[in-house]
Amino acid sequence: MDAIADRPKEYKYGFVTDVETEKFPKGLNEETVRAISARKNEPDFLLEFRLNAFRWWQEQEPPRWAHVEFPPIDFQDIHYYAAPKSMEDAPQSLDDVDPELLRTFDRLGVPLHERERLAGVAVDAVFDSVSVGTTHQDILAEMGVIFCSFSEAAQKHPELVKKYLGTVVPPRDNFYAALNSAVFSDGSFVFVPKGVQCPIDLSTYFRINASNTGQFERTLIVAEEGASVSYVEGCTAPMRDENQLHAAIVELVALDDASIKYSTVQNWYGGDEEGRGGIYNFVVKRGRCEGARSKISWTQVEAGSAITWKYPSVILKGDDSVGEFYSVALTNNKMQADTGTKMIHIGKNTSSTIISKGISCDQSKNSYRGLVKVTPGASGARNYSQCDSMLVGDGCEANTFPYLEIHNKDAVIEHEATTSRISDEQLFYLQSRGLDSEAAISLLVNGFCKEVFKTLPLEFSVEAVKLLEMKLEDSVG
Amino acid sequence: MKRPRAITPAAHYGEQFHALLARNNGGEPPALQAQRQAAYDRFMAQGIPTRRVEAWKYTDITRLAEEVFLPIDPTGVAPQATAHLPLCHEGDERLVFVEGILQPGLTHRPDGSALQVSPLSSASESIAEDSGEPSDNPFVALNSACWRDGSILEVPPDQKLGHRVHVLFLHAAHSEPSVIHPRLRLRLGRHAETQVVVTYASLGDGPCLNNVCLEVELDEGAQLALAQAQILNVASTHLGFTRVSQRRDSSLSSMDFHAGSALARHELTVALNGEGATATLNGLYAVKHRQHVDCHTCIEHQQPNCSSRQLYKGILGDRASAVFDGLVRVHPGASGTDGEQMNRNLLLSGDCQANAKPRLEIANDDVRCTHGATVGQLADQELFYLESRGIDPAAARDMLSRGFAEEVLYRLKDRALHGDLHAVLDRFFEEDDEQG
Repeated sequence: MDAIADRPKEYKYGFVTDVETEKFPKGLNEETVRAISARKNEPDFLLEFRLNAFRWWQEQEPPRWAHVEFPPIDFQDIHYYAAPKSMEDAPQSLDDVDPELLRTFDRLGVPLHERERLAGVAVDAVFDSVSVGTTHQDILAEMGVIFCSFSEAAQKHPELVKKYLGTVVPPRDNFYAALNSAVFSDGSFVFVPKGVQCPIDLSTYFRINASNTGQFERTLIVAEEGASVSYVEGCTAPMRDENQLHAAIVELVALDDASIKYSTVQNWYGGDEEGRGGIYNFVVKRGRCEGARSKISWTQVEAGSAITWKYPSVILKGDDSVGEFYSVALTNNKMQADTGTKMIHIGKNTSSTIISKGISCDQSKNSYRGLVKVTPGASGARNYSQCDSMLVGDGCEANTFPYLEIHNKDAVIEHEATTSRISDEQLFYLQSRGLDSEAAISLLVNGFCKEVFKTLPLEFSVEAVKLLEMKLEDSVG
Repeated sequence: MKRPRAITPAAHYGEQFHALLARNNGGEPPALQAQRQAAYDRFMAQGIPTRRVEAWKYTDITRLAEEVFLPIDPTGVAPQATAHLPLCHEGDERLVFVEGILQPGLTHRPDGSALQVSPLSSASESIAEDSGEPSDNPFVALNSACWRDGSILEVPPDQKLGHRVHVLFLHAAHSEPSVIHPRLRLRLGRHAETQVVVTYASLGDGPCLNNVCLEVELDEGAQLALAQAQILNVASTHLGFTRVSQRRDSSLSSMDFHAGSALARHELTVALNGEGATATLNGLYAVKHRQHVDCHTCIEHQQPNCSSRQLYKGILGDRASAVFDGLVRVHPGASGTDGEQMNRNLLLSGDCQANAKPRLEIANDDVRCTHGATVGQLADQELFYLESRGIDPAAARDMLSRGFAEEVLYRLKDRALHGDLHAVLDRFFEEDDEQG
């Protein structure tokens, strides 16, 4: 740890927590899938769901179309289940949770204890593959909001899980979605009943600790008629030389007049300067505005992972529904990101907004890839997309690959993109006003990302700004 | 079972190719024959791409794997017909190809023109796609294998042609489906300057597969205004490929106009290989009924301080569909790059489809690049304004649609061509009015 403390500019969350872990042997076959399901004591429909996904997955080839490069993944060389051993005895409350684990989350700045109530955030913490504790359950229960780990939901609310699981991201959606559907270990489940405005932000903190494991969590959020919820996720992982796979699925369902806001601050370990190690973050995130006047908003700050490959999307099925996507993706060292969104307009008078800010530094590659599709029945669809890239250093790449598929004449679709760098003139001006170069760069970058940061919940907005500053310190000047 | 990425072309392609070789009967130099064979092998190896290939995502040409288009010989187009040739004007230097064969009788060369014209078969160097890597478009390979006639046009250094050069590729047959492989090479020497119009048109109403390959080289400081007008009949299929290579301080101004064909696809690639080169690509497509048009542009910024400007606009009616796929690629050494790309689509009917893929790939931090794309219909406020001034709704729509097109067409310095293309658009809108 001391070594890391001496190098404060490196990855701050790169420590490994020494807790005993129970892992399944490496490799994936039908037995692994059955064993995961059995270990979690799941209802039969879930086992069937997993097996169907697994059988289809076996017939598929991994997709290669993204603008990223990595050696083929050996899917048999991964542990598909890892849990802190002390979870064996299933803690009844936070007091029973391994203190070492709690210290880990404290170090990450995740307030797990109820006494941190003033932070105003309910937290579900996922350590390796299992959820280790969820806070503020009682307040939420009073309002009728269900917020618990996915495993718990499968036990206590199987009817809700059965009704919504796989309805937004079907198990056969793509290669990694099928893999996740077969082996997902845990994740969060949120259900906000009709008419309830969730009083506090809900949050999940993901941590990969064990080595050679893949993390396959699954999040499902359902907001019934008129309900609203704001959900935040954060992610970190230790520094290791090998690459680790993270293939999650997030599904959001918004019924009539419901609104879901999903914010991510992703800071998985991104590998060292030579591009060794880091997380492969291949995530499928999709929301469906099922009901009229519903709204789904994605905000993401992607600052980590060796490879980020994800497209948080919205299917605008309900009339007058609204989809939003705000993203800041920062890559440094040899990180690669191919990220963006899909807005599928189906209902009438639907609208979507896409604001994407990419910052590429050092030798990294940063690509925006997005689709705006207006189906023939989606009259009155409206989309505005803005994708700006900033390049820092002359060895990096910034790419923009927007797709516009417009099949309705009433649609009004606008896409704009610019690419630029921090200009010497801007830096000189700020420095002539007495700001040092770091402060000047930070100010300029914050200005560049402002439209996205202002959509984050306040505490996370502060965290995001700090995260970006920390990452940029090494890359600029 | 997933669909394949490519389909093997039917046997008639091979029969045609071997018939062509037999007909030339060894009359061509062995090197040229070897090039044809290599290109044909490449075509067969590549196969006909399906929509699983990203570059063909929105354009389905798999029917071409089976459909038979045969090369035919030109039947006499009388010299007096020249007056009726499309887009022709007095004073043009004119080359006319009918069914892909140069027609000396229709050709007009003004006295003392500095333009040097020679047949492609006399080229001392390699014919097949010599100005870069072989394209991954199999139809370029097919053209290299099967072209029957073609020309090399050269403007010597420091020459400025006072007249415009008009090359017409005409399809005159009325009945059976036929194939033409137009091929042209255009070279401008140092500081040469000229204006070239290439027209693809049908005189008959028979279906035609018009598979074009156009190669352009601009030496230092050369300036070229190049317009391609594709007004084939709506039974035809147009597959165009244009590759431009530019050296230091040269400048290209391109106009890409499509109003014909059932299916038209044009790939325009510009390599800015010298510092300070500039390229301006303008495009306009107007399609209706069930027409499909697909414009691909690719600008390779290889060297510092080059600039590129692109404006492609489309007007779509009925059940027509259009694709714009534009790529601006800035290579690592190309600092000081200035790139702009814009695609705008106007939808006149509820059943048409517009697909846009404006792409940027940037590997240098000292650049200024922007791109944009819009899709929409005529603005209600603008219609209302005109109507409130006493203009009836149909006329108001007409004015606004023409205004939309004019933003591209007014950039043409060639006023004659400007008038000609407007006349083509007039027909496009008139038929609409009759229907409406």
